[in-house]
Amino acid sequence: MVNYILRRLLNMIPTLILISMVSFAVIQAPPGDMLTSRLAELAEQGELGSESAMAQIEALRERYGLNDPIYEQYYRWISKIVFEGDFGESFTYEMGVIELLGERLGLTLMLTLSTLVFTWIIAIPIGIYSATRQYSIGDYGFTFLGFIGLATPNFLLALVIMFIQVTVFETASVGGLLSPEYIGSDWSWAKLMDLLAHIWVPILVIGTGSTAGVIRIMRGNLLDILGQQHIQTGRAKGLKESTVIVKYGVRIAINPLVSRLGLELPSLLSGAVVTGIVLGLPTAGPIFLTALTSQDMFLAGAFLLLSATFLLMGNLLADILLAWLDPRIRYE
Amino acid sequence: MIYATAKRWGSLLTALFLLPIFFLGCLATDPGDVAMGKQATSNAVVTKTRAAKQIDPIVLKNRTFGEAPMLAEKVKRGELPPVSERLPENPLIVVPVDTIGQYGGTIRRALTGDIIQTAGVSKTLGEDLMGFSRPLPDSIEFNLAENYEYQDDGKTAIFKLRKGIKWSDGHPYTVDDILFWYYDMTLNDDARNSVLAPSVWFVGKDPIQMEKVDDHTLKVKSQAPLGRILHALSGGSSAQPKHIFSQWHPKYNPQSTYQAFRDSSTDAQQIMKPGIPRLSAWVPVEWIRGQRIVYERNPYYHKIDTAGNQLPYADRITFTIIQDPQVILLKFINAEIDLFGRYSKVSMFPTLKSEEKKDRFKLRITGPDRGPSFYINWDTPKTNVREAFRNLQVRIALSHAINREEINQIVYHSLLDPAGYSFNPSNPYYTEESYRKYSTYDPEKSKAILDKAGYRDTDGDSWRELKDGSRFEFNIDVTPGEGVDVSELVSEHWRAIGIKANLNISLRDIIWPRRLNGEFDIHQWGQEGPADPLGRLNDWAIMAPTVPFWHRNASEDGPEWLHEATRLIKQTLITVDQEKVKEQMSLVRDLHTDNVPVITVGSSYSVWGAGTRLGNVPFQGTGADVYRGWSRPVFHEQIYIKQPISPTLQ
Repeated sequence: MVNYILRRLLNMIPTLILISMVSFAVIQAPPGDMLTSRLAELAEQGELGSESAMAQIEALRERYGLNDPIYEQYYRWISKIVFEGDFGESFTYEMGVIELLGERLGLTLMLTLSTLVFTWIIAIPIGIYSATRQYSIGDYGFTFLGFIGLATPNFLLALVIMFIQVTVFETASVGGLLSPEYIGSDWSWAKLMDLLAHIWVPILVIGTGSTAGVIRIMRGNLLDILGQQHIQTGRAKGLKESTVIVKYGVRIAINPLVSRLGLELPSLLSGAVVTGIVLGLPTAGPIFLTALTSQDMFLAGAFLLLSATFLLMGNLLADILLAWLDPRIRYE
Repeated sequence: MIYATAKRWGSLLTALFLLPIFFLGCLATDPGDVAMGKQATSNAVVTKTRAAKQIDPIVLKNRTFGEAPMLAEKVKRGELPPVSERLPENPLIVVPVDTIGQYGGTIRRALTGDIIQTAGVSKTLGEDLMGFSRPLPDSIEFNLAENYEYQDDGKTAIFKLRKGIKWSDGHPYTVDDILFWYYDMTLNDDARNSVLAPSVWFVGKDPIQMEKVDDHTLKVKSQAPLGRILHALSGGSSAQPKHIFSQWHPKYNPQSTYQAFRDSSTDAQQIMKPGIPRLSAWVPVEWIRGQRIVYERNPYYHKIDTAGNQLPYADRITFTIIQDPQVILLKFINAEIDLFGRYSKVSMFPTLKSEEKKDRFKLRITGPDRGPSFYINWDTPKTNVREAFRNLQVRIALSHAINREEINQIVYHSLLDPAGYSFNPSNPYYTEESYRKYSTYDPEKSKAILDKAGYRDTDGDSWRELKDGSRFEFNIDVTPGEGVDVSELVSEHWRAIGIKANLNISLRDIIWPRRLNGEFDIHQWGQEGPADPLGRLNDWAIMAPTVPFWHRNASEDGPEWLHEATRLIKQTLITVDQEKVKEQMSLVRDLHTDNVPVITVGSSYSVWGAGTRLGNVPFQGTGADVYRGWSRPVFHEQIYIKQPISPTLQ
């Protein structure tokens, strides 16, 4: 097992190198760069003034070394990360990348982890119910709701919920994670209550999208397992129905879901992008979008690289977890 | 089995699907029939105020000024000097828009970003030597300076600062701070954050000279008459606290580096970082990155109202960061935000109008201002199209073919003023005749002009041909937004006269480099500088080899009228005599309008709103070019909160 893990870790290195090259190329691919992007933004706001845009861009290009050949720029970027752990500075936010992400990491993780837990807590029981009461009204009903959640774009759902909150319920503070009076203040019971009052919207919006998938997978797997012979044996032995389903059925059916967990890891960091923008969440997702649209090289590159690393780690962790859970699986 | 179930439930499900569609109709009512009272902002409009228009001279003489309760407490505790010592000898007297206000409360605003939207704050809080009159920018008034005079045929200007103005930490504000900002920051290539020095401080290649006569007298000198010096000193902030910034400047502190200085003096640091003394009405006290910036009143602010109360009225102003403008709209409707103007779009007008009935805010229409325009590339890579574009008759025909009223009704909800490429009503040299030139809808006339100019449909495919026989076809570059709707309609109008215009809709980041490199045929954008072309020189004159962007080779290849207009503009920059300026700018206007290098659809009104809990909000705030946007003319320092609430953030 240890050999297996070591081999996997070693295999990750060439993959990461390849990913870093592709990420860098992808960010550079659209015409223009972070400077033209910045100038376009200023122009849109009417802030461009009478300075010649081209002259400014050229001068800034020199200063930031954007006229150098691409492999030189790439080498500069990657060596700083590997040898100094310095992911660079974001051009749009005028802050170090690690600093910027670190600030938001806490709330991001909290939101994404609670969404994940919420999704699973809701979806797995529903999946089990759907499988055991196949083709009943409940089965169809839950499936239908799940698909509606999947089909409705998240940002639209978020806007609609917020609009209803404003026009029908007249909630005092919509969007964001905290009311204005609690931003920046110390943690207290009241602040926690306020957080809960706000956080149900993003959890609901993001969660409903993913429950459909989990429900269907759970249902499908469990149906498969419930048709097998050891279930019949369990019933014949006289065990309670719930024990048969859970201990003999779900325990096996849940394995593919555990593999899927590994794929969820990168979205812990950069997930919920558009929803985050709409709801004004102070998480890392919205920054990702801004980084990409303004071609902020260091920030976008760091995001892509981190997401890729998390994906690889996530897969490895999922495999290890699976090996631990399922005695039939053993690695050489 | 499944088929049977589907039959049973199918109809029910279908009905369930269709139901929400019926509900959608109930959501927003279309106020399209609401009669629009277009308040054209003429120079003669003045709001009636109930406050005294003059200050009682006894108050000035005895210096019995009023101050905010939160400051009066600090004075009692000995933390601040009394108000008569905090204000300058001759404070700036502000006549409130409606009445004398009350102290207290918080003004709440929103930004879509902090570092990337510093302009949103600097426009509200900027204080300079001079300032544009508010709310209508038809004259420049004194602000931090109390007097100026020209000498030496306008080549020298002497500015007298108000004596006794102090930074927000109590340190005196003197000419030293201005000189530090000018020489050690703006003109110093290593200390400056932007790579190029702002061209407004140069006459030709030489920078304007600034000299200290004494602590409160500044002398500005140049080789040529200082035509734009008043404008230059009224927009930004021409002073930085020397006693703070010099500690990072290598000239004063040899142990520091220029990199450290640049990092500590970026726009965001100057405007948003707490702890740096400022001259604005509020100073930042808390900045939570990406979430909110809180500003609190500046005890040394140099303005008073006509009753002698030190401004600002509001204790605090907060800027909450909300990335999506639609959400800012939502929060404004929900009365979580008090002022909504920077991110308001014409498309939001129906929603705002229908929510206005709840009486939590009042809308204002301001303008008309920059509107949608089509910049024709005189140097487009397609040589056959280029030949047509350079033909005045073609441009006139294209302009007459546009049904501006239809665009007004469909896209702008009647908030567009159809017009041509000229100076708009907020410009002092505007005339109605030139404003409307070539803007009447007359497709028959367009067809006749094009026929006469030799662009006929020779092969009967309903498209005209160019002089070389190929189809009269080109692309319009446009970024997502209202421009797309306008461009679609215009492309239909041009199709009706036989010209094929294809739309190239892409993100700004793709369209913008094409614009800069001159690779486009037509570039759809808002018209730049119709209220103040001298602030947008690069679009109206050949100021440098690759400018204007719509005629990159103009310096070698440009038409005579454009060269003439450039000569006149350059002359105006060094003219101080206002009569001469008017003459010259009128000629520039006619040269541009008669030759219609850019096809303008009109000037659009903007919508902005203020919560009803605020008092003294002007109705005629303009988004005029000289303000570079909306918030300055709203002048926040005399806005008060109608129900005074406790100092905790609400």
